[in-house]
Amino acid sequence: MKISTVIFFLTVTLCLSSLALAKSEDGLTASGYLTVTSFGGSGKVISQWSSTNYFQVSISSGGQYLIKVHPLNEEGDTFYLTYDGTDTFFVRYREATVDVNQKIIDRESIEKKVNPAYISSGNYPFVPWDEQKRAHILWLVFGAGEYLHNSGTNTMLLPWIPARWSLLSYGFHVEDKLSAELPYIPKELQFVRDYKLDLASDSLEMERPELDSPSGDPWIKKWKSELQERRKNWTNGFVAGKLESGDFTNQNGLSIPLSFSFQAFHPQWVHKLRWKYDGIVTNVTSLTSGESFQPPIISVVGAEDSRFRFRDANKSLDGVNYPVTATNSWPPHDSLDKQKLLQAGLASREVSARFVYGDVRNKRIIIITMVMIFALSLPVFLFLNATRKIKK
Amino acid sequence: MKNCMRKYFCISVSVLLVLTAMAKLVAIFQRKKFLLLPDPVFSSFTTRDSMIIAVIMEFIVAVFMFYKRKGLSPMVACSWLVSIFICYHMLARAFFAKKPCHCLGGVLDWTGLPQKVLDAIPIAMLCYMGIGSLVFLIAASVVTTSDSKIK
Repeated sequence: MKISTVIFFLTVTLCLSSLALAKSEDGLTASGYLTVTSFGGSGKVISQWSSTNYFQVSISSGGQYLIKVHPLNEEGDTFYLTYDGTDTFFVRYREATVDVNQKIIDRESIEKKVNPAYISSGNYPFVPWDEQKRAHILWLVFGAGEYLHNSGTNTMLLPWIPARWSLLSYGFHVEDKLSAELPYIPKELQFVRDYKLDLASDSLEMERPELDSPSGDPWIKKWKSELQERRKNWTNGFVAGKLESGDFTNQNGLSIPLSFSFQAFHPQWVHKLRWKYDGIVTNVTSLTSGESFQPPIISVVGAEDSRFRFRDANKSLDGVNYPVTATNSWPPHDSLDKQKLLQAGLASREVSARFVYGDVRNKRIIIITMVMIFALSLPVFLFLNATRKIKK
Repeated sequence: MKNCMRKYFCISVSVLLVLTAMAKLVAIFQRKKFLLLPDPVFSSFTTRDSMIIAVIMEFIVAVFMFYKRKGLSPMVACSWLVSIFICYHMLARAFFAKKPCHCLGGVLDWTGLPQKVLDAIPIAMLCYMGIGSLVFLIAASVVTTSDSKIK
């Protein structure tokens, strides 16, 4: 064999192997099935809140992830939850429009409707609009380990209760046993109620930076009620949620479980069990090159972007809203356009509801004080009048 | 006749106040769970603290009304107490305190009566005491007969 032939074969082999290497990045894609079972207060299964779902999770060694959930009973529906290393994105592509009891009231193709999206800073997913919390729980399994490991925190808002809207999500610490290898997936994790994490007053609780501003009295009423429920029923040490992962497998330096189970508890439910999630991973492959860790834009998306959030003593804005299409894509977190949108939003509102509430509160205190002064002075006046008459 | 009615009113209010104070004391001694919650109006106090203050006020007014039952001054004390309780209820409503109200310490929970009825009982008692005391004061102020005793 001639030397030139050997060199030729060697070159071809080298090219092929480098191509193969280029095709896979450091990371993996796992797919499988997630079963959701929802329980009512009496322990009965609520079928309209229960489902079986196909899921796919792509994880990079840099901590990015893309979670895709596809409910098996809803052909055209897909939910995406992603983290691109800076921000978290959620999009819900759903054909059906449902009422509060999950009853379908209308159905329209995804291409014809504006699909809701929510963007937040950091790795914690402030994701509304997935009533069965599937994306949150998959994040808890595949993304929370990295979040806990990197932030060094032992507290976390309950991912299955929307922290932007509910004060029941707050006041819990985490007891975990994380995997030693990337992405530090929890082998065991518990959310434990901790009174020490409650803030000193109701107003401080309502000023929590993660919580949205109230849009009026009904929100204040709801939060007051939640605070009282949290203090009364969610007693110190109560375990609100418990995750267990097993059968770990390793690919491309990442260790992931092949099965996992999560249970969420409610203190007032008869059997305490509120949600049960069982997941199995059926396939694990290497991450394909060029994987984007932002959700695909299948149709027009109406984004609520909480990265552009503002608070000061007088005004607050929870985010800006704008459409996202395949042509303009997801804006970066320092987008000047969106900054301008935020400024315009702030300029258009005088004082936000949070602070209007302060004024309303003061007015009510003044009115009640006046009523009290009148109520205390009236009997004295009548008594003195009667005394004067007797003396006469 | 009017003095007689006033006397019976004072006695009945004294009895009611002692009963409500006792109901609160029972709840305090039973260490009921809701006692540890912050007071819905004055969040720096616990519900237990505000209940103790209410018990003290109720006992003082009950004793005062019983001993001074022949005079008109117990009516002032009674309407003051009622005013304070009504303003507290107004504040609780204005600041969205969650129902039920624990005015009676939850001692009637065993009766199985609907929550609406249980909530209405202390309001009805306040109406009786408040309207009653004001009627006697107005009556004394408008029409004063020779048998009226002021002090």
